[in-house]
Amino acid sequence: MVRPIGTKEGWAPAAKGRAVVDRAAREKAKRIVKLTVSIAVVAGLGIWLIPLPFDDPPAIRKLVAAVLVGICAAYLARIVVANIGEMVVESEEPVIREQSQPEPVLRLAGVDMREAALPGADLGRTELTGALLEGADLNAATLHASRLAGADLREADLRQADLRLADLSGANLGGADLRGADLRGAQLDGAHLARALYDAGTKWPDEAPPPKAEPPIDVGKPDR
Amino acid sequence: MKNGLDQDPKNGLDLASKVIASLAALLGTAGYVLVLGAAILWLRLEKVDLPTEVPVSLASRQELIAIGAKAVAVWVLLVAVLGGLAAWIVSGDPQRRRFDRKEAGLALGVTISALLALDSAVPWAVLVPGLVASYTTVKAVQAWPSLDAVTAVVLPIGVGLVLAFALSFLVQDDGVATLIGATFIFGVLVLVAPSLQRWRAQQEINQKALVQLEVQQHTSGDDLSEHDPVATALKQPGRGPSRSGIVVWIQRVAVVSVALLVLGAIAVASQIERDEDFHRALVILTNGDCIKGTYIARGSEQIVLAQPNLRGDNKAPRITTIPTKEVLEAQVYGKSIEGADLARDAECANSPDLVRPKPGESGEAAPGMPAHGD
Repeated sequence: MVRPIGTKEGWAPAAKGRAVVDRAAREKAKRIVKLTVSIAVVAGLGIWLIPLPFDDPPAIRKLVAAVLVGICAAYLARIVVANIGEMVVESEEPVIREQSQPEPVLRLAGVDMREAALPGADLGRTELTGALLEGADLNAATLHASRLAGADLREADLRQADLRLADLSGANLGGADLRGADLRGAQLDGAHLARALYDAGTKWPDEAPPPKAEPPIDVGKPDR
Repeated sequence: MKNGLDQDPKNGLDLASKVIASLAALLGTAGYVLVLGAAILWLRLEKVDLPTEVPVSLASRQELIAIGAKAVAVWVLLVAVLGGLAAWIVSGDPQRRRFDRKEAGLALGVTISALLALDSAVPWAVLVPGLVASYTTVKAVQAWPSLDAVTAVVLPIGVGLVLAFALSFLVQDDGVATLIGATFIFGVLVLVAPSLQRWRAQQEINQKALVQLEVQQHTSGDDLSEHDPVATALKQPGRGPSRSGIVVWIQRVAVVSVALLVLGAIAVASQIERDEDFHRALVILTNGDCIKGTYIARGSEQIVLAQPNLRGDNKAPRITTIPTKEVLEAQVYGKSIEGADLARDAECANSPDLVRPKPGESGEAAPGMPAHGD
C-alpha cells in the first residue's frame, strides 16, 4: 500500500488513512512550479528572440536556450525526486486516526460538491474527509458529528450550521461564513480560519473564537 | 410488461441511428481530409506563384483526399501514441500514479531542451537533458514506491526524449512547422493530463458516493428523489448551477472543432515546407506530341500541368489543362525535388524522359511514335 504523496509538512495522516492536504504547503509548491515554468518559458523565448552578437546567432541561441531549459528541468527534477522519495511502501494496515465521533452512517469522503446548494441538508454523522465543499451553501445544514478533516470549505456558507462534535482538523475554512454556527465539541486542530466570519451567535468548541477568524466587527449583527 | 415485439422497433431504431452516425462520421472524416488536401494544394500553388482556383477546382476528390490523408496520417499516428500515454496517466489513481504539473513540466522541459540542443551548434548539449532524465530515473528507481509511481515519472520523460531524437533525425532544415507541431501536441497532452486525471478520479469518487447514497436510501425505504440536494450535487460536481444540455453540447463541439482545426493547421503547415511538393511529368498526346511540365492535379476531364516559379526566376509561371480524351499516356516522375518547365515536344519519340515499355508487353506503338524495335 502506498502512503499519500507529498512532503512531510504538506500531508498528514487522517481518518481511515486518507491524506489531509496542508493547503498552504500545496499552494506554495504550486507557486514554485508556476514560477519555474514561467522562468523557463520567458528565458527560452527571450534567448530565442533577442539577437546576440555571435557569428551564428540561431544556433548559439538554441544552445543557450537548451542549457537554460535544461537547468529549469533539473530544478523540477529535484522536486519530483523529493516527492517520489516521500512515497514509501507502508504496511497493509491503513493509518487509523483515533476518532471521538460515532461511526459515520454515510461515507462521502473526497467527494466534489463545490458550489453545491445544500441548505438545511442533513449530513450528520457523515464521512466527508477531504471533501471539496468550496463555496457550498450549507446554511442551517446538519453536520453534527461529521468527519470533515482536511475538507475544503473555503467560502462555504455555514450560517446556523450544526457542526457539533464535527472533526474539522486540517479543514480549510478560509472565508467561510460561520455566523450562528454551532461548533461545540468540534475539533479544529490545524484548521485554516483566515477570513472566516463569525459573530456572537457562533458557538466555539472552547467558548472562545480561534485567533485566525475574523472578529465580529467585520460582520455586524448576526444575520438571522 | 414489455415483450420482445415491443422492443424490436426500438432496437431497429437504435441500429439505424448507429449506422447513420457511423456514415456521418465517415463522410465528415472524408470531408475534413479533402479540405486539408485542397488547402495543401492551394498553398503549394501560391508558394510558386501559380493560379490557385483553377487547379484546386479541377482536381479530383480522390486526389485531394490522397494529399490530405498523406499529410494528416502521420499526425494522427503521433496523436494516437501520445494520446495513449496521456490516457494511461489519466486512468490512474492520482495518488498512486502521480502525474502533476511538476512531472508534466519536467517531461516537457527535458523534451524542449533536447530538441533545442540537437538543433543547435553543439548537439552534444543534449547531455544536459539526458543527465536530468538519467538522474530522475535513477532516483525514482532507488526510491521505488511502486511500479505505477516510477513509471508515471519516467515514462513521459522517456517518450519526450525519443520524440526529440526522432524529430531531429526525421525533420531536416525546413521542418520547423513539423518540429513545433509535434512539440505542441506533446506539450498540450502532457499538461492537460494532470487535470483530466484529477477530474476522472473525482468523478469516480462522486459516482461511488452516489451509488452508496442510493443503496442506503433504498435500504431505508426512501426513494432517491431527483431533487435530493446531495444527490444533485454529486451528479454535477464543481459546476454550481447546472448547465443546460445544449451548453454542454456546444462546449464539446467547440473543443473537438478547435482540436481538429489545430491538427489540420499543423498537418498543412508541415506539408508546405516539404521539398518534394512537385513532380516532373511527361504527357503523351494522342497526336504523338508530348508535353513536359510539372504535375499539379488530375480531374475527370483534364490533367493540369504547370510551369511554376520554383527558383524565383520569374519565368512566367502558368498552368495548362489538357483534356483527358487527348491524352494517351501520362508519366509522373517520383523522387523529384523540382518540377519542370512547360514544353511541347513534337518529336516525342526521341524524348529521353520517355519510359518505353519492354518488348512484348505492348504490341502497338502510340500514334506518331515508332513501334518497338524501330
